[in-house]
Amino acid sequence: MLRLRGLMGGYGRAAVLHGVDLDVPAGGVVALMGRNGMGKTTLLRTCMGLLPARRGEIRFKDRDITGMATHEIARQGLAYVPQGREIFDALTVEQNLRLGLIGLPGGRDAQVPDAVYDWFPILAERRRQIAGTLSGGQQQMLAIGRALARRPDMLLLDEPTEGIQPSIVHEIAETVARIAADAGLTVLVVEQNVDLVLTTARTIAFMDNGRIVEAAPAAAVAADGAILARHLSL
Amino acid sequence: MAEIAIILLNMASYVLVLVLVALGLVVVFGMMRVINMAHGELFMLGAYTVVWLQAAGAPFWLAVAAAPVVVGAVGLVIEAALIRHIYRRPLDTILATWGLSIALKQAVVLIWGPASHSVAAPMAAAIGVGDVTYPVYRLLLMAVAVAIIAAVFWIFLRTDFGLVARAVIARPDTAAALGIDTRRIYRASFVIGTALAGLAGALVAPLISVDPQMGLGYLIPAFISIMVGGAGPLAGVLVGGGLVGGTNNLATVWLSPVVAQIVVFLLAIVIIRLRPQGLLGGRDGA
Repeated sequence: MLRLRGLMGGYGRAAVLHGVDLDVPAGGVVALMGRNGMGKTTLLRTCMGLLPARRGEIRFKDRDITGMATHEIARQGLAYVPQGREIFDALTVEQNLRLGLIGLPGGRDAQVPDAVYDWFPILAERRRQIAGTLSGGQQQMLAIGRALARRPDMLLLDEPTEGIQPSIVHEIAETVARIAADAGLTVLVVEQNVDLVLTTARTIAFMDNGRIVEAAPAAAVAADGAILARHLSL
Repeated sequence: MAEIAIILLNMASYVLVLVLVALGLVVVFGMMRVINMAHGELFMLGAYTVVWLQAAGAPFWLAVAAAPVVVGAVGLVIEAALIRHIYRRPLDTILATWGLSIALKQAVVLIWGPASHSVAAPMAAAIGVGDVTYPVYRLLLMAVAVAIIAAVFWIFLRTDFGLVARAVIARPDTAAALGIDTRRIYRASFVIGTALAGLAGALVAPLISVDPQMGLGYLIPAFISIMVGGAGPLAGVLVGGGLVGGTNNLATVWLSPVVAQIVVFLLAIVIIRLRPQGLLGGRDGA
């Protein structure tokens, strides 16, 4: 589904990615872990065309999307939930969800699919509420729901548990796992929270210094604490 | 009593034209962070469109209707040739659009000469209520301005285009990641902004002297209106335009034009000192 080869990039002159190779198979859920500043968010932003790829290749559904405009990449079926959620605070829940659809060609009168409300019933309840007044966890559900509204093939999810109450983290983890299974969605999730990663991901890739240094099945990581300790301890 | 009514009506028509000009400016600034120094010259082009079409024999209202189309088309060319290369570089946009304003002024001098033109009002009639008589054209101008202002608010606050535009203002990267073609929204907003300037210039043409310098007289109060009212929500323009235009107009009548300028600048300085984001600023536009 997503295939990165020798991807290099960063902000301005500062290189952050030093040749990333990564494969996310169709229907797979891959978690990307690593210490802060290792390039995880930069990688997602580069895939989405929000930062330029300096070298290397990004292939999505067997198509080269390197250098494509962000909205074109989105229209290919790649969705993105940014770090910090980035919901439209002053708009209602429903308007936020519709914005996941109406920017698409022919999407003007599109309605939010029921599936989104099934996955996140709280969003149906709060349809008319101003999004900025939702709790952090609800805002995260809104951001995910907004990205899924147009039924993408793949979701890039950046730190979905950041700044969210621990009690909600597990709920979000289970929902993401359920959506991936229900909708056959491919997911690449950047996350620090081990609970979420082990609940949702089948494969865990570890990033260090702008490269993928190890990838292991989630079961192996769960069984062998040394792998996590090696990549995450300070 | 009659005198006061006329002064207030004059003030209202000035404020409404100012709000039209400022609205175009704030749509462009709010969307793209482009401070369009050539906005006054686009206003001027609207007035000259009327001069040009009237000389060619077109009726006044047709010329007024054509002005936003003509100026909007000029805006489209400006966006494609100049603005889209300098998005998100505020200082460069100020310099580039300032250069553009000089070029547009000189182009007008080359075509129509430096002297002022006058546009005949489409109707000389005045209507009276009690002992107040007032030109019909000015009343119509106010009605048209109110309708256009309402239409702009409706577009940005009630339509899907407006919803997308507000999303792009608030979070351009996230909007693009949702599949929204932000460039197209920027372009449409720039054209709307320039068309509003053109329409304002055309409507006010019969009331003022149409000359190559006319833009500045509206651009500066429009800028001050935006600073006073706040550039975030569109409603800031109504508050700022009303306060700046009203003060300017009343102080001009009761004191003098020079004192009016001083009063307006003092008012702006005090308000911006107390509320740096403007009266309605600091609220999220989207």
